Amino acid sequence: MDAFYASIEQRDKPELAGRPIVVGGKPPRGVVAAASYEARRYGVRSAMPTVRALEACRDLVLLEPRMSRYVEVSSAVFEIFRRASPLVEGLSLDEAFIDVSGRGDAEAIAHALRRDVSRELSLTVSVGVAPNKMLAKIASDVNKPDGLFVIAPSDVAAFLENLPVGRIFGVGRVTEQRLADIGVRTAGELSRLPRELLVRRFGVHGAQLWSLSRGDDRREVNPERERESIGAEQTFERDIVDVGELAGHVEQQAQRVAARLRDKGYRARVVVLKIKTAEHAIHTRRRTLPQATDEAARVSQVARELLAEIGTRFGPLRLTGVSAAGLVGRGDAEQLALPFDSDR
Amino acid sequence: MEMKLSKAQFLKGLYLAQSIADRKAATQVVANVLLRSEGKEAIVCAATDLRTSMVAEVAAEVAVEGGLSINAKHLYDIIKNLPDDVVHFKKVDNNYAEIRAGKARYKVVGMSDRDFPRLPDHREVKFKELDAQTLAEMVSKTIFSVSTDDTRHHLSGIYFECDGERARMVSTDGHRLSKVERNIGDGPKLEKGVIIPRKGVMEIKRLVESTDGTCDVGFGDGHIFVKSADVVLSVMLVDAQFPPYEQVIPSDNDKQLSLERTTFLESLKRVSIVSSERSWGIRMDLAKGRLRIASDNPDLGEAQEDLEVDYDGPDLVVGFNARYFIDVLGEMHGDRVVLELNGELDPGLIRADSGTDYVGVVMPMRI
Repeated sequence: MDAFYASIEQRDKPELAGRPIVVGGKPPRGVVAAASYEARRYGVRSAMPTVRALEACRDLVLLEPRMSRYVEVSSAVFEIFRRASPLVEGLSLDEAFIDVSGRGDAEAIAHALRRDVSRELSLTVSVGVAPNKMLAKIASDVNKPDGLFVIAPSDVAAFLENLPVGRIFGVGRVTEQRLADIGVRTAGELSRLPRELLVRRFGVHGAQLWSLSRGDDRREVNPERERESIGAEQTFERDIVDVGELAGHVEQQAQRVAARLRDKGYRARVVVLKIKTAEHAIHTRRRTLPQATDEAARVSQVARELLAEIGTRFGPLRLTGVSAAGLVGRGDAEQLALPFDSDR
Repeated sequence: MEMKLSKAQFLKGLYLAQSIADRKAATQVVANVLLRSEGKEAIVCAATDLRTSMVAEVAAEVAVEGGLSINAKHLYDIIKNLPDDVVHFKKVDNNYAEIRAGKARYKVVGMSDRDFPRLPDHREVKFKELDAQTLAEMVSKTIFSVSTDDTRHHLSGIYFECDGERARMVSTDGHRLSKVERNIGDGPKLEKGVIIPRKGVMEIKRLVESTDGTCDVGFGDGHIFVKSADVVLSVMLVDAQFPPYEQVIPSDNDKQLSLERTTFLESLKRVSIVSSERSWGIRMDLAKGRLRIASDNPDLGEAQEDLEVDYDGPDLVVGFNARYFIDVLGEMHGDRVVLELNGELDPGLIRADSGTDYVGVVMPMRI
């Protein structure tokens, strides 16, 4: 995602759009966690002390981080990522590897993903398409922000030829300097060194560098955790304010979720309702059940109760979604709850 | 304030105080112990976390009357390590306290006693005697199944019922429940049950455990008061409705088997070593003449153990959290226990073979 925290702030607070802003800690000790592109024009960067950022840009707006908000938006982002493929390996709240092999034209998938993120979340994402993780990550930076860059397998050698070694995965300042000492500045130059020389100088790391410099990265995309949630949501054609009408949509979404739970052999301990306001602000409400369920009636009852809690306080809604989290697989033992009526 | 007192006696009061004083509280004074003279021959030590409070009277030779409050943990550590049994204590300017014993000398930061929160008043409370060990035992037998989920207010303590002759304590975390009943003779009479919160009940146990004979118990103004020797403890009751527990205690489980308590307990411990750390899941496989306890865990391996039982009914396989049985069995004392089961999704019950004064109800795990 591009300037993720800062973009969320600018989106949530339209008065900040187009202005140089940073999300970060207060002076004197705070540092910048994210800078909008307007702020970057003044030389403001992440990890820079906020004091210096404010010196660099007099009009800079400093916002305190709202982590829970970013986490919330992040889960919406990842839901879109998972449409492209279930093999999503999150690196942080706003960055992920997605393995789309065997799922059709990767570039088309990237376009769709960028379109969905922009359309549904009003945020921009930069995507790199490449044969492996290292190259995909480098590619995603090439046309940042709001860009797409593709490295086709046939272009890999040419792309690497002039790529600074510092961009290779695992090459930090120290390694970069040590390589510079032996006259190596690009991945192309590195790839032409004898492998043994690198092993002698850098040990195992050297062997890895040599492979990476030739575009050979065999690390797999690992969806680190098992599936976290199953959800269904819908953006309405027009914003809806009528609670009864909304309840109807939520009911249908709950039933789809329950059907998919049963399909995949999961039961859920948590039901989450997500809404998006006319202003694109996303809010969620969740409830933990005393006992995991895959029953449509139960999921839908809880989702509708959550909707009732929200009521009309956010005005017309452009989207509702229901998801089931805290998933328990069929094979997992699940502790049952004592049958108190009051918990039902 | 100036006084001389015995280190051992002072420590007894401070020990209770430092355990109640709330170190993490937003207001510093709540982390303090209040010291205030009570005439010329005693002082009171008092502490509160605003829910649980204690007042202890400690014998002292008071030279100058007065009071102040000091960080309870610090003061306890200081007094505990003093080299001599006679403690000289003096309040000096700006609420500092000077403490001397033998050749050791401290000057400790304190606060004015006027800033200390008001404590619940027990002077109007009608106390009734209760055997201290009975009270401690009842708490031990139920405290482990109190819910630790802060959002479930109504399960956050031990439910206490008492009609004057029979006392009952019940606790549940929603997955298991324990209930203990005892005859108490002429004890406190409550119109309806009360919920004593976990922390307060732990303090009550701490107090009465070291009490010989009886303690005094009374209720008033939303608090339970427990008095033992020179200490009065008050605990604010949980303002919530305890769930109707009777309805989840099974009365017609048709599969009953008698087991030797320690054998059952040890088997559960052995088998659960290879169960999942999080769920403690084990399987009870009941067939004619034997109860097989088994567990398998893809990460660790398998374990099983057969117990011979006098059982002639239908087969049953049911999953349980072994911990839940281990907790109850550890609180029982007789040689034999009775396990009552029904279906694989129905609550199981464990009790002494002598009766139902103490029962544990455990919900199965779906396996």
